[in-house]
Amino acid sequence: MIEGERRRTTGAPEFEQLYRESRDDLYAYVAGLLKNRAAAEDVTALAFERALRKWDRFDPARGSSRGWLFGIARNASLDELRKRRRETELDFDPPDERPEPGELREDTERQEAVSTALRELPAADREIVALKFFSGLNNTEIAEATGISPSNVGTRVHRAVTRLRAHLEEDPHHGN
Amino acid sequence: MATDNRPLTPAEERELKALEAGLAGKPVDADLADFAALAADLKATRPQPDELFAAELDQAVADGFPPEWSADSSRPPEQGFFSRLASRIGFGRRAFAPVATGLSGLLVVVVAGGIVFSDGQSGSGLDELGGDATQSRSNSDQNEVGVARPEAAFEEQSVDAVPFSAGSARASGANPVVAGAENRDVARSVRITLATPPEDLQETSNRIIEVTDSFNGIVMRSSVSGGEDNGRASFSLMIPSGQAEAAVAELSSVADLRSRTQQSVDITAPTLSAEERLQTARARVESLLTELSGATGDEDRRRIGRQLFWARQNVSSLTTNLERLQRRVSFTPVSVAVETGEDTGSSGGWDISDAIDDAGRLLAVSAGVAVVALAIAIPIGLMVLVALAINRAWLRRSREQALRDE
Repeated sequence: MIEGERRRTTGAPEFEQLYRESRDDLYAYVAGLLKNRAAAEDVTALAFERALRKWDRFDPARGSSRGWLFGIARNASLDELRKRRRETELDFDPPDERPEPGELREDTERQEAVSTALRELPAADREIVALKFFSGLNNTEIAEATGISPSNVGTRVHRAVTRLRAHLEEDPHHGN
Repeated sequence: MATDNRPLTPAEERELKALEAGLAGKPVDADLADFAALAADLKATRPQPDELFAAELDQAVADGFPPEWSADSSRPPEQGFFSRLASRIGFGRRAFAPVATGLSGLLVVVVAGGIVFSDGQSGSGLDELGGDATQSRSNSDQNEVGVARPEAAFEEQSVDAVPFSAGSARASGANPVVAGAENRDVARSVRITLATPPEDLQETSNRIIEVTDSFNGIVMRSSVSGGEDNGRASFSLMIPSGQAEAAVAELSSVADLRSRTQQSVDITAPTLSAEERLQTARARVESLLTELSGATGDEDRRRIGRQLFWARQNVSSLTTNLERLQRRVSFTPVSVAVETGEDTGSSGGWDISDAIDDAGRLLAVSAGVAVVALAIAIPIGLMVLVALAINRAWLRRSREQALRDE
């Protein structure tokens, strides 16, 4: 039995359901955090690969599968940030931070301003906004993924949105 | 971000609820409409995966991420901690496990070997672990040596001192081979244990006496006891030291040799001391005799006569002592014990009790080896666990730092 076949027969239905429900959400979170589409694709694939490999060890009693999956993706994303930092320190080519054409579903000025302001936020704020508004995780799932206490997640979301609004108010193109 | 932990004010709570409502597409109060709109805008600007990438990922998940997935998509293969460690050290991923296993095995062998070798010198190590098993091994070694090469074995046992012929080396001036053996008085003693079938006990005993006689030895004490099934005999012999080596070799071959031990004691110093004191005592006797012949009064003759009596007693005592020491060098006491019963070795077969004994020894040695292996493996395992915990903590901290630095 080859490795792939073994994996396919090990909890495949549940994992495939988790994958179908989370693929786009996970990508959105990773892309929002990393601000680079190519890196986001790599990390998204890596996260699902790790999750499939560790699927036998997932314990539903310890939390939701989405929180667990996003925790894996978070670790992979932060590893990517670490790698990027090392490469930047070594004068490697910095990653392309320009907005990708496909990232905006509606190319309106307002949403583009929101997107631009979001990219200027610190990574920690960007992460919490991505988890909340891009991926649609509830506070419990965000807590499971990040290790923040559930009661503190709302506070963190509000702080990030407050800073985002401050950036938007500095942007003359923003309609608010 | 110390302020992140500050509880939200009621107004902030309202804003947060408005964000949640806007995200869910629910209506909000008019004064919070921009919060709801911002939530909707954020949701609308969420990045979407490229269709080609999504299709590739769908296929990879369906196939369970086959090995070619990483190669085809130019993604680095997923590696665990030990694989990353192996690659940094320079081993291939597949070579790491065999190399680690080999090194661990080598470590166990080296340590266990060290204990076994030190066992031979200090009597510790597996002796304590193996108990009877090691004792039996020692006996077995003696048997093999004794039966196969009695004389050679004797020389090996005597390697720390002069051979038997040198027992009276100081007196005879012989033994130029062994450095430092000249002019030394060495007293030796030998203990031999033989095994014979019960029916051969008497014949063996007779043969021991014959051998003793043939070497001009003396049977100091003999004892033969026991019935047909189980008996025992013991002999205390005195063999002239010059012939002791040959005598012991022949005695060892009378029956199956079970064990043989030898002790050597250098008595040169007490012998020399006894000789000097005897010479002094004799000179004192001569002096008193001279003094007695010149004495004039009765009182002087009686006084000198008493001194002469005690001086002659002293000479007699010292002479006896010196003769005892010289006899101790000239003759070697040999103690021979003859045992009968199940372990005589000539009963031939390897029976169920032998098998049980061997199994017990094997289990004892195996347990000893297992204890040694555990003694090595447990500290290594603990170190690995500590290293993994440190690595994990460092990784977590490094990731959070990367998030803060971005």
